[in-house]
Amino acid sequence: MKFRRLRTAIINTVFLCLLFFPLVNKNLLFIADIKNFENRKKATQPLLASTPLDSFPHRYEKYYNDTFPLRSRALRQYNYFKYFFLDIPPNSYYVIIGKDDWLFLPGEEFDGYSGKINFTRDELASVKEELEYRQNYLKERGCKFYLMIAPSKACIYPERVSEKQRANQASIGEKLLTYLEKNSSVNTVNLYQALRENKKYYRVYYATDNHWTRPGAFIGANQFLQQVHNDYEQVEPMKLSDFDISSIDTFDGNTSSIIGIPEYFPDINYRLSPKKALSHPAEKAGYVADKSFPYPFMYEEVRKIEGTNKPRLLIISDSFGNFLFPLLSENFSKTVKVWDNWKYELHEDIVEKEKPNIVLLLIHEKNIRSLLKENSKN
Amino acid sequence: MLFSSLIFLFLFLPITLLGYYLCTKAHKNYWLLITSFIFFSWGGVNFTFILIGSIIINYVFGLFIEKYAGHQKAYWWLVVGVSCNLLILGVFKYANFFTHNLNSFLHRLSLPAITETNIILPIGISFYTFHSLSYLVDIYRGKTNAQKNIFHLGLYINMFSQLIAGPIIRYNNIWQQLTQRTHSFEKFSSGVERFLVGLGKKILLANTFAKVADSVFNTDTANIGAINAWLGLICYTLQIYCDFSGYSDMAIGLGRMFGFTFMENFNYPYLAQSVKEFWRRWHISLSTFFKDYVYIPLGGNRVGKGRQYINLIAVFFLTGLWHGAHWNFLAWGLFHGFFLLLERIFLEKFLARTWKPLANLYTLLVVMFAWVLFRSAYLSAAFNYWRAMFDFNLTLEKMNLFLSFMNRELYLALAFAVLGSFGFFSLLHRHLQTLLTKNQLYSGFLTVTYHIFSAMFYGGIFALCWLYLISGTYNPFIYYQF
Repeated sequence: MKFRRLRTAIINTVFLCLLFFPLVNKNLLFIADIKNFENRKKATQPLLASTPLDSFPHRYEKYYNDTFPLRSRALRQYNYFKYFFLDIPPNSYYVIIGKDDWLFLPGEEFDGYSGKINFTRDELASVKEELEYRQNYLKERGCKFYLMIAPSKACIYPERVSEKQRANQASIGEKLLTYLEKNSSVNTVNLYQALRENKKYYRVYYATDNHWTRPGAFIGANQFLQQVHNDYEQVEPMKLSDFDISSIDTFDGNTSSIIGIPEYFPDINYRLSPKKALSHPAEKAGYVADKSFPYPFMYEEVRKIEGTNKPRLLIISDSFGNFLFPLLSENFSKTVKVWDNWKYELHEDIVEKEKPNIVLLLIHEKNIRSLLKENSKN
Repeated sequence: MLFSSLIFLFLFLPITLLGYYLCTKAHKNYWLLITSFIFFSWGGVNFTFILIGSIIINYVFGLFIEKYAGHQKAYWWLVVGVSCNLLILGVFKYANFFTHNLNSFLHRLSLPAITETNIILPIGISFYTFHSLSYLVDIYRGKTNAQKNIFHLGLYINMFSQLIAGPIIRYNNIWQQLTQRTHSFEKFSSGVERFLVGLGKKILLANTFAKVADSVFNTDTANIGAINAWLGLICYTLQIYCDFSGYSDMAIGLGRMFGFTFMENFNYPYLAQSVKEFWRRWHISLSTFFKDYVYIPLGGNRVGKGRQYINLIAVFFLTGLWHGAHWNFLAWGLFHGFFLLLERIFLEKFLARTWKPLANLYTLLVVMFAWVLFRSAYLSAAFNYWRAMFDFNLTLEKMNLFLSFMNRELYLALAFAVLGSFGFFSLLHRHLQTLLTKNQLYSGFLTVTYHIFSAMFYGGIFALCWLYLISGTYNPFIYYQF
């Protein structure tokens, strides 16, 4: 056939260029890569001399994949291709795209919402026993214990979940609260109804992040303060009018970053600050985080209000405590927050040192089964 | 190391190609041998010693078989050589299966169990053992001479392009190419095209079908219904074809890049109009191996009908066993053997007179039902799956599950795979070539356009595979991980 050599030349050239390009670019850096958006440290190069031979290939391959030239650029192109040409969510293993481009996390978070993950009756009893132990332990030390569950986003915004994935039963968190309210004396703060009722005023959860927004945290804080007010009159729920609230358009939610093309998933971010701040940052005690904790500078946070008879609060929480803490600290003489690496432990040593009047355990619904691992009695 | 991995495509292959074409003719084979050992040891350094041992054993036995050709001693050297190879394969591939089943049997008799083995299967052992067996038998049969250069023999047994997934190369088909193969731009280009087609089949098609098939097969069969069971099975049918034939395409393509011409391993098997024809089109190198080295030595078609049927069942028993040490694979092999038996007894004549699409449909259904055995984890799971295929009670959950699979990626993959597996693209290519040759007026312009488009198509497949491979390494976290 005519022009066969032309075909041969083009195919060989294109193939060899594409084949050798990564190797050449790695060393000569013709094109630089963009910032990695996986939120992790890349694998390090194993040394042949110090690595067992059998594990060397696997470790080297991991390192090679992580440091492949133009990797982040290629990932973005792949995400564009999937989303705009194939019309399917990129990285659907890691993110569920709901209605109106609302993003949800699959796995434990979504399974807890949908009822795929549940507690057995024995497990409920075990959690109840653990929480009652903590409550009694703290009561002996003149301290009141509260459990607050931060709902998964889909529980509050089920209308943003696609119809075929929408749950038709209560979530794992709601079921636990219902059980505790009926069978236990543990003080619980139920946020589900309040968040659902108030979502018409403000977006209480981000569209592209699995966390609540500052208005969402405000509602959570007020639900808690309403209960505390029963014991401490000087602690009162807050008024939104005492805060400056503003919103900006943004696209940097944690879930949209996983998608890899966050600029196509816009969101709203609120700023919420008291018009007249009462609390200020205070000296930390120096509690030490595990080496594995990715945010050691946020392990302990302390704020104080001078010259008040308001009670002292200790918050053991996860990342949902980050927006809650500055709001609650406006209502307590000293507020200490410990983000304890998702362990949700009792922290007897911290209780002994801080001598709080109230301990609030705030746990995101996604992690609620962690309570099964804890056995403070032992 | 897989062909469909970044490290193979963008580190191993370019370095191997570069080194190969920089070497002199005398050193090319040694370079290939070294890189093949590196490729092999990437899957397990310790297993390299087994491979080296196998090469040495077969080298020695080959020389002795040739030395005593025509005498009884040659037969005994062959027996010992074949036994050694089968022993290696038996120990590494079947010891765990054997001890596990023996213990189940002893447990039923309330007898003490023996220690269960926990032997790891070395990569490629099924293929390189069969290479070795064919080498020894062909020397004994006088079809070829023993290889005097152990490095050349090592290259035949161990060459990376066909080590993992075939095709099974007969020594007498390749020995001349070990020392006398030619290289050309056209051959290289044809190898590139073939390789890229295989890569695309594996990454773009097989992996897409795997997502659906895995999801359906891993779901409780009570919750899938006929709609999902058939979807899962269709996807698996296409997955296994694209995966396996894709690997063969890559092996053949790689061979051509290095000047080798390997036999074809697949010939549009889903076009077959009988199970007998299916096995002439599917994994051709394996079916011809069993025909030449098992069926014919057992008597082939020269013995009485009863004996022929037994031999046929024996061959397919071994075919199933070769694929894996599990009852499911044995059942799969025997399932095919059963239908081959039926065809031999009476069905073949009936199929020859039947409307071709109907004969094709019958073959597809037999093959697809057999794939359920091949894919399922246990025999009971396979029976449950077959049952689900006839569960026409459609519920909202089953429909939602079905709809969750429907997307543009699957539609495109189905279109390409179905058309491809029925030979549409090959037919289209031939027609286009004929058209371009006949049409003298626009021949030059159209031909150039066609070639440029083809080149872009292949480049596009490579680029897309590149993106998909990188996406497979994506591992994000909500919170920063050290």
